[in-house]
Amino acid sequence: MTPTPALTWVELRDLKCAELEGAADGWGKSSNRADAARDRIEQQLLTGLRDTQEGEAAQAAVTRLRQLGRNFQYVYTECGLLRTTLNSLAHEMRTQQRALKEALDDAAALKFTVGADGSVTYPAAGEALVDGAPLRGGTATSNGLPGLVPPSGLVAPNPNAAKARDIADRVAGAVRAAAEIDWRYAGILRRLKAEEGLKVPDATWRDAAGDAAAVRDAAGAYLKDAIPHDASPAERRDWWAGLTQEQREEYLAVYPDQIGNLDGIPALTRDAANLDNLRLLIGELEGRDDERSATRLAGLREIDRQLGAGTQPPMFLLGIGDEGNGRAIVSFGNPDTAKNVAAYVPGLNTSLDEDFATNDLKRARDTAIGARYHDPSSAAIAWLGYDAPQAIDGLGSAAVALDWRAMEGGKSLNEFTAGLSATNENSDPHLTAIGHSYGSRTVGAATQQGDGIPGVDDIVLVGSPGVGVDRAEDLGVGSDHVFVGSAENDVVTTVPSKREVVVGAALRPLAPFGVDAGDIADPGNDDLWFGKDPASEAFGAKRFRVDDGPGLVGPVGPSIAAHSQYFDPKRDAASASNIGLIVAGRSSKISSQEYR
Amino acid sequence: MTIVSAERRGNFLGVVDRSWRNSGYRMKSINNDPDVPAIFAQTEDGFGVSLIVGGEGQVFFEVDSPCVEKSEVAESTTKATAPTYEGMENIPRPNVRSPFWSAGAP
Repeated sequence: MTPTPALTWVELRDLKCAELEGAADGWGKSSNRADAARDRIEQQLLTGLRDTQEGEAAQAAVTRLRQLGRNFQYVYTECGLLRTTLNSLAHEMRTQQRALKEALDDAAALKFTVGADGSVTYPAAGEALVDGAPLRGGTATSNGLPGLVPPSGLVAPNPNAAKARDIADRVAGAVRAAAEIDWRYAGILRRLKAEEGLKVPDATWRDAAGDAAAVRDAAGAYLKDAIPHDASPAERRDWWAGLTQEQREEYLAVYPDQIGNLDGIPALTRDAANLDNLRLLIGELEGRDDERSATRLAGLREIDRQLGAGTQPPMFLLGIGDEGNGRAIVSFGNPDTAKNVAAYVPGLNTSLDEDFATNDLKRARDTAIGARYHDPSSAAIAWLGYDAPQAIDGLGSAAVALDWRAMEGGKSLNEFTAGLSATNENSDPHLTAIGHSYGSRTVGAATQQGDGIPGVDDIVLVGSPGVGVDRAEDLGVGSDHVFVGSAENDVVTTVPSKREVVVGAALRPLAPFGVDAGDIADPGNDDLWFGKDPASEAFGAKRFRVDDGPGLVGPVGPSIAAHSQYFDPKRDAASASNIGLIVAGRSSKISSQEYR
Repeated sequence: MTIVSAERRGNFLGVVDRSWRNSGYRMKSINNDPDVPAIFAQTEDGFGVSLIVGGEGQVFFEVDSPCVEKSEVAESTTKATAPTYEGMENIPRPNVRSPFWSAGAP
């Protein structure tokens, strides 16, 4: 049974959609004001306080101001959603209004009358089969199932009857659809209510995540999925540049997850969207109690903590996402204004967790600082934009999957660097791709697709088990722009080739790299797991000086420490400073090391 | 900050190098490039000490403490007594001329 819609066609006809849009504009303005307020708190007040004040009172003020900033961010998010909801409601109502108007126009043209209840009265017309006199007029109503009962020439021979019936159906259809829209949006708007009070706890952000999803479902027809996912990063940049300010704001409010992770969108925009994503995702994960969510939540919290600490170089969130093993792309320094930009690709077992948020981010940060010694216009990015393999039982069992992950990762990396080139404001930015461990295999795979890694001038490979090609010159940047750091005690850089692998029981803790102790002791072999040893003369890259690293067997058993300190200016100053020079575009100044 | 001219860079590094060696520091790594020389050393009790000549002759001194186990301690509340400039993009350039150290600088 269909409930009688409370809405009448007169009401639908007279509905002023422009008023809804006016209200939407109002919410949009509130949203923008909240965003500006948050910005002012974070950029001016907090920075000023931190730099000039100390003591408990200042500390307390910083905490309170951060909370206030988050509250404003919440206001920004919710008001933005309200604006899009109202615009979307107006858009859908207009469609029904238009359908209604067409039906009414048709009725007027035929000189039919549409009654208040939606019935359509038609005049006499045609001629009777028996006496040829015009057939009587009448009234048609919609039965709610348009088209189901075909007009029969015997039952209703008046040709107007069928037309009237059609118009009645269209009027009723528009009203019914409008009532449904009204009901649907009433529900969404009711949802978009904040809790009372000044606190915005994670639970409220969880609700906000649900709110965004609800608005997105509803607004699909209005905003469309016009986001050009299939276009090139340069085309996406142009698409974004071509939108009006209002359109951009609506995309940011409703699709922060997509805009924030879209290569080709300017860094500042991605950062703004991902600030939202971060809060929404934290809110969402808060509500779950499985281990995976807890792990991920810890990672996001750590990123959030660093963002709040306000350290230099400034952080920009270029990507945050929950898909696969998690996504996080964090830049230290603005990659759109910096002349030198480096993207660091982490390796095996990297996923969005506290370890990534602490250690991988630190690698990018150290790299940015190291490059800034030589050119202050430098930025470095920790790029977790792919699913790094999560191997747990040695390379042997996962070899095929490993290659496939590298291909997929390489594809994403190419998109990302194409985006960096597209949005960088310098005429010829200097880009460096840095692959660590399995990440170097991913960088290698990226070079083998299309014309190589877009925009990248230099490639740095550290702790590499091979990159999938046997010669540096095959990486597409010229062999004198390929730089290799390989610590003598880094077991990963001596992983034997596939046919030689034997998993040594003594070194089992070094899994996922199954390593035979005998192979490590035997330096004569320059074939590694993924091809030629990048540190070998045959490979033909430039090998830069790194620390040998702690010995393989430390006081507490086998150690993989030498594999993990290439970026660390404290543990391996030679390596970190060489990486800094290369990223700053001064690779002719590095200190070199003999081939293996 | 004092301007160290390219001509005096060698003297400067020599003085530092000698002083560090006399203090028993161990040299971990050295970059001999004339433009961007660097000395990375370690004190007997594990402190890392670095001198890096960066872009435009800017000199960076850094000291870091020995590695410790990660523990749940709060961030230091003691403020640096001078700007640390760590990681900053717009670090002021040296602007104090010394008749000796700045000799020959433009």
